[in-house]
Amino acid sequence: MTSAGSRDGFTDIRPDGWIDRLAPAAARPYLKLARLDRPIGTWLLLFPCWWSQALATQGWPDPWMMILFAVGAVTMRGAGCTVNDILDRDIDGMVERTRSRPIPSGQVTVRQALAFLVLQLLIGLAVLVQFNLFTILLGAASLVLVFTYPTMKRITWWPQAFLGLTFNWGALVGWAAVTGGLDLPAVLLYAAGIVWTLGYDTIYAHQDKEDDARIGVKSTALRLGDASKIWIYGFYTLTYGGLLAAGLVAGLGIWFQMVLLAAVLQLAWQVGTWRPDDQMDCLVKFKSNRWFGWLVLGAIVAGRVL
Amino acid sequence: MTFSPNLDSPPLGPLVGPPPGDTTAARQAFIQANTELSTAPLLPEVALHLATQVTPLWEATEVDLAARDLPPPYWAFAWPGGRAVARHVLDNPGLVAGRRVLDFAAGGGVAGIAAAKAGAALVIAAEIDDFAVASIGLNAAANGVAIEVSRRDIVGDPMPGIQVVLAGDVCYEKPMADRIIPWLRGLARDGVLVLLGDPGRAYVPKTGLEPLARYLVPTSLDLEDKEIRETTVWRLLGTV
Repeated sequence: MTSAGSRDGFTDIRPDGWIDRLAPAAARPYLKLARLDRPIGTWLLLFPCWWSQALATQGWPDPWMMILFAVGAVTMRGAGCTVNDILDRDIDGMVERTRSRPIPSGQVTVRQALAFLVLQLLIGLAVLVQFNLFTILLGAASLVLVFTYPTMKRITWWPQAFLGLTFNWGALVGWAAVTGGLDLPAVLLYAAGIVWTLGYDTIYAHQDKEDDARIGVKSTALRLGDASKIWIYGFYTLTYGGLLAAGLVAGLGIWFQMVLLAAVLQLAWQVGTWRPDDQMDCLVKFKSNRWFGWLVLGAIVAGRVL
Repeated sequence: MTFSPNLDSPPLGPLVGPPPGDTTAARQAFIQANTELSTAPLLPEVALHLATQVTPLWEATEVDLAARDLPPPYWAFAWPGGRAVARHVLDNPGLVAGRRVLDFAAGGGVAGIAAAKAGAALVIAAEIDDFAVASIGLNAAANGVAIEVSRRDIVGDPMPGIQVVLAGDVCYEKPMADRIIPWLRGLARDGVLVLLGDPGRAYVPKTGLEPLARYLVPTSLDLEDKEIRETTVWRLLGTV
């Protein structure tokens, strides 16, 4: 292994991560292909599903359905990352940071990675078919976005917008799974999720150590430059507006609005205390969106059960 | 080549700090202590950590450097070939926008940073010098761009996925030019756009080149034998 690379912090593979410490050797490259050591991407994919499910449900959301969404988020996010590693294997092999990844370092062949991709997609399919027919079709439609994102990131200056469309698809799926259709609250929630993604991804784009599924994409950070903070304030304000509108149209009461204020304070804290030039701080603020996700879920559930 | 530009004048001071340890972070600390974040003529829009006449590195002799086990700091100077390529890319962003770019023998990464600013989808800077690698990281950050690094000697390797190669000032030594040029020609034959910046070095090929632009690059008499180097950005062709 490239000891010089890891000592110098050049590789994005962590020799001290839980995968290398705990997982059986044969499974390690596959777990890394699925980025199971970096759960934040899964959380960001999962919360819109849970929000939407809770929004569409009178009373407490069904835990079995929540588990289905969780399994689906892990496998589909893993599939996305696997596609990325297959498509980018040549470039990954040249670049110091990515050459220890499973495919360029020869730990798995492209065939094996493809087989693993198929396995993940089958698990995703097994999850999907637990839902009603409309949800199955809607979920299948997300594959178009999943598979075009790695291409879009190379041809548009705003790959983040495309990322937002992809990552928040669950805001439609959750509603459909409960109601069998789509209504205005789900669409508002989807819109809120997209601007939320634009905000957190701009923070993410200001750091480059923790590469996930992308290379060389700092485009919003570049394009927005020093104005990033103002833009994120704008994105997050729209996020709040969208969530509030979704909740009100869905008939959520005062408790929703109260707890949602806590979520908004979390967003304000993110951007208010954000130091764009501090790589660690960018990462901390980016990852803190998991807590925002929980707060919004809490707000929606509070609005339904209190 | 010497990095003792003013042997007659007394040095301004010793290099700052202890010899750097064997990590990129330590090298970056050394670079920050011994260079100045500034710009080079012809390229006001690219910030670089450079040896300047007020920094200790400018005065360091090869003896000083060798005593600290340091290689010559090529990366601390913006050589005319790299600057001309950078200028050309900034003025003609269509050459690199949306494309995957390799900045070969990148030094401080000036051409790669220009490509990133011009909208390249991906920039990989290839360098075998650890200090150059460290300075590329600092310079990329100073310009708010992402540059990937390859630290291997990639000469002779195929470059799958690379669409543009930028090479500034790589023909100043015969053994190096003899290795590099055939490899770059092979890439050009495969459809890669290869831009070569050259201020009239001795070992630049005489044929199989197409001139794209000429720049009058201000240089220092301490490093070059002229104050202005007429520098050509060539497109290297696949056949001689």
